[in-house]
Amino acid sequence: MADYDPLFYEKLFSFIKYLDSFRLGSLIEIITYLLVALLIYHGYKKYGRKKISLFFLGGFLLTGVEENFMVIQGYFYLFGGPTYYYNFHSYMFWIGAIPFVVMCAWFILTYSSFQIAEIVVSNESNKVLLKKLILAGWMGTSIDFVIDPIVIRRYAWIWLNVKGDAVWFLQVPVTNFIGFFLLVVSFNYYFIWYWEKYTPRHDKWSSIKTNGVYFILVFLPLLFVIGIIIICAIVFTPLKGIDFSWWPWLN
Amino acid sequence: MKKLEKNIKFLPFVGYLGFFLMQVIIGLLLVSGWLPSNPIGLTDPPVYQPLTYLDLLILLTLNIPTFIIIAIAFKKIRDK
Repeated sequence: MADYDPLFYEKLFSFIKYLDSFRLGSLIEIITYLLVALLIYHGYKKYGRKKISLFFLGGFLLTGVEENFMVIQGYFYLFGGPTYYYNFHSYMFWIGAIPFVVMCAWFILTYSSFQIAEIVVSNESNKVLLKKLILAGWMGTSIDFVIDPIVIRRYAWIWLNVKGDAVWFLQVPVTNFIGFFLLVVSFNYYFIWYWEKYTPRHDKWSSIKTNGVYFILVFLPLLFVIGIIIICAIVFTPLKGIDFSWWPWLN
Repeated sequence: MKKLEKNIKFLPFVGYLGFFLMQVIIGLLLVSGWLPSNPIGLTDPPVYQPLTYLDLLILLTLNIPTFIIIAIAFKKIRDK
């Protein structure tokens, strides 16, 4: 059975884990960084330096903490056993147990999905924000449908959940997709709430104070998503490992 | 640089579709066998059912609503 890297704990705090991670496959990482740079440039031109910095760093903190929490708690068996981990040989740069590029990819999906949703949804329609959030959430998750089944077969990350304790789709737990959708929706909602409602009410505060509050409150969507995932895991466990793949009907 | 300034409104499409296309290319290379899966660093790698072209096609079909959303957004922003 697959297990964590033998040097998981020893390498946990290294920014570069193994030198063999620098190879041709790293081209994908480099392209991802370039796409991030393009989107940051877009955000800088459209919203200004402060807003795009807060969006990028807030999302970075949220995914970094969320994913590190999920991997490390699984390693230490804190909440029911192993979850998943990223292969230390597959990525160049790391923040704890999470590749730097994963957080960048999350920014690409969250930011670009919401920008496209903003164009599609007319501001005159009812429940504008809700529609934008759901569209952006769907767009982010629909890419994830393609990424996960492919990337696990390249052993870039490995799911360690017990087969009977999760509901599966192409050998990926369905809670992964639910969590991804909720993260995109809740972070975008949180950011809009902070920028449009919270900041104007506290315009007399120094920017250090308001920014500090932003980076503390960013954990609210995180707690929300983790809470829903735990509920889903409890609900899914009695289903005893149903697989929603189409293979049984095709083979 | 001036061209980039002019086309800045299309950058979210470049970001989203660029990332999407990259994954599809990796998927195609993986299925065709040009990009072998190398379980480097894993003493006991998990066993996966290999993906087929049909699997990839179904995964892309799941993205049809997304393609429609992108097409609508693209048309709207081009007409602006």
